[in-house]
Amino acid sequence: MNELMARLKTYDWGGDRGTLKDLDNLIVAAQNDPGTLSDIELALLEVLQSEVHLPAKEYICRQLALIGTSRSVAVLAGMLTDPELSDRARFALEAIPDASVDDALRSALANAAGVLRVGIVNTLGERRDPKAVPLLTEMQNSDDGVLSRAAAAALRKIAPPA
Amino acid sequence: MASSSRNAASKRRVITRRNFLGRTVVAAAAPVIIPASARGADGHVAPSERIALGLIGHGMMGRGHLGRLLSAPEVEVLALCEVDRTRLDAGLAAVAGAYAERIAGGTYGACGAYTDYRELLARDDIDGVVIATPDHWHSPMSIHAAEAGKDVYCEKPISITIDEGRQLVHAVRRHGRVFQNGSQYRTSPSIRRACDFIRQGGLGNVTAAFTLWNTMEHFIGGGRFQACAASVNPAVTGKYYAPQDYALPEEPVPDGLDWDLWLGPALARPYNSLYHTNPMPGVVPWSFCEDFGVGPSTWYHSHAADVLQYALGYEESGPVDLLHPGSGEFPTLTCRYANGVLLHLVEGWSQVKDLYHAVPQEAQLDGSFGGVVVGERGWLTTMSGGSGVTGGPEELMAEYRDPRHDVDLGDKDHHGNWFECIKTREKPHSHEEIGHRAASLGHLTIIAYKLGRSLQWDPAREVFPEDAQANRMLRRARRAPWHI
Repeated sequence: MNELMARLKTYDWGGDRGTLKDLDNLIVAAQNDPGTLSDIELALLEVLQSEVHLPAKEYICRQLALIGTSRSVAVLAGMLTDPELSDRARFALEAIPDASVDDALRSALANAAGVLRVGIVNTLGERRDPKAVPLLTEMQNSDDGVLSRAAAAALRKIAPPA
Repeated sequence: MASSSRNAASKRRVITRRNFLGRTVVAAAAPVIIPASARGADGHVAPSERIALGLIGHGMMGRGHLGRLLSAPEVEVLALCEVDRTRLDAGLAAVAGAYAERIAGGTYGACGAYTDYRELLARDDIDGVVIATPDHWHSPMSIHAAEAGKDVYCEKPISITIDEGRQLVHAVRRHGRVFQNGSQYRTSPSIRRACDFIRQGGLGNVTAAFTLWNTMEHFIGGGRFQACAASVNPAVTGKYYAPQDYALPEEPVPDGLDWDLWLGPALARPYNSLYHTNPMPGVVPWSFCEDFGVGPSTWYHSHAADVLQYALGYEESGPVDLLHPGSGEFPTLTCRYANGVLLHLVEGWSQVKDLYHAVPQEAQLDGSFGGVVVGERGWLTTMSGGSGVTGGPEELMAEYRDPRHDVDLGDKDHHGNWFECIKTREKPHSHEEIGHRAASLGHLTIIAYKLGRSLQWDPAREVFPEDAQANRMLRRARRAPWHI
């Protein structure tokens, strides 16, 4: 595992996608092995929080979309207000079936602005989070047209018109 | 519909109404003779009766669509949208050439030109749009078009995830639009005849079907990838059966290309010409990258899935099992339908003979965009190209050739079928549900390959029962601010 993570740490634009094949395979092979999956998740989170290139972080987010648990939520949520990482964090968070994700997304709305906030609204809609309805209802009346339209679309997904 | 803060006005190149009026004022100085064609005489379609269309995407596939639209007397192309200025200009020139007489006669003003498709959709004088963009745009644009009240003809596969395909179906139904999936082979009389023959029991009980699914190396092993071989590594990633995420090196964005709009809902990445520049003489350059395309599904499988699921009677449903070769049940990935029929994916037609021994060695199997169907009484292909429809034994083929199996589709091709349905409001040959199910079969295949194991699928609920991990792969987050 350490060697695979070392390879991942050097991955950058123009990097050899083939070097990640063994990590791809390890993750697939561990599907029915919660212990190994947990080890992989923690190792990925460690790399994600280190000084690595954007493609490495993106690769990790793609893998966490597949295997991430509540253990990943705080780290990913911390990326939601980072313009470079926010979309990638949502890529993972949107797929993780844990209620703590919705809590984290709702909390992040207060600190996110502009297009990053819109992205969080979109993810809350895709996750059909009923607890987001009051916040989204408020945003639906925002002067920011992009935000208000996103909130309206999210509300339609959470509570489709009859 | 998503909006961005982009300065749309600076991108828009539409000839303004004032310019248009200026031209007509000059024309009005001479006596105006309205040609018969404009009045609807002589079999021509009066302008008021023409279907007003826009084309979104003028790459290689878009060029083919535009040519078809410009040759259709019942259609008038009012607008083009393309994020690449060079391609947009080429499209405008094609429109100007095709409509030269109308322009000279004052019966056609100008073709609207857009970089941002939302501006095209905002026009209330356009009835429908043809979408010929990279795959990751298909569902979002189709949904937004439906919301804007436009009928849609969309290239296949119509989605890059099962969830967005289902949302597309909902949007088309909710807004009462006419949607055609761009799988034109289904409208071919010979393919229709073969499928109907199978559906009517011509082969007896069907036991198995076969279609193609190759590794990525057939695409990324090509010469144009050599420039990025260090990144793509075809020797390794070419062994995958599914498109991958790649971190191709950054290249300068060509003048006139709005790369941000090209990316749209996909995760941001630097420009690289491998995504964007057409691989002459092929098409769909982006399809090897999972953010933009669906690999073999884009290349041929979504056509084959449409045709085969039609032949098997599952065009509005799907398989109940994806059987991975690792399970040992079959040597290649196999889809099992509720009635027990098996759809085996093969890497070449020879595997139908040598691996599955399903047809005689002398069977002529070639072509693509369909497959081989085997039943109690014999076998039949549903392929286009190559030798066309072949089958055996000879007694069965004699029956197959009987004129009573002719399928009367009228004189309409796939586009023509859509035009007709726009007028009648009937369902086209490959409507939204059919297109969604054809694309879904490719997505299911990719999920099984990526997870490396067999999967159960509930085609009614569109979930993997009791499989939380596979269910995570039904959808993907979009880059902000885009949503559907």
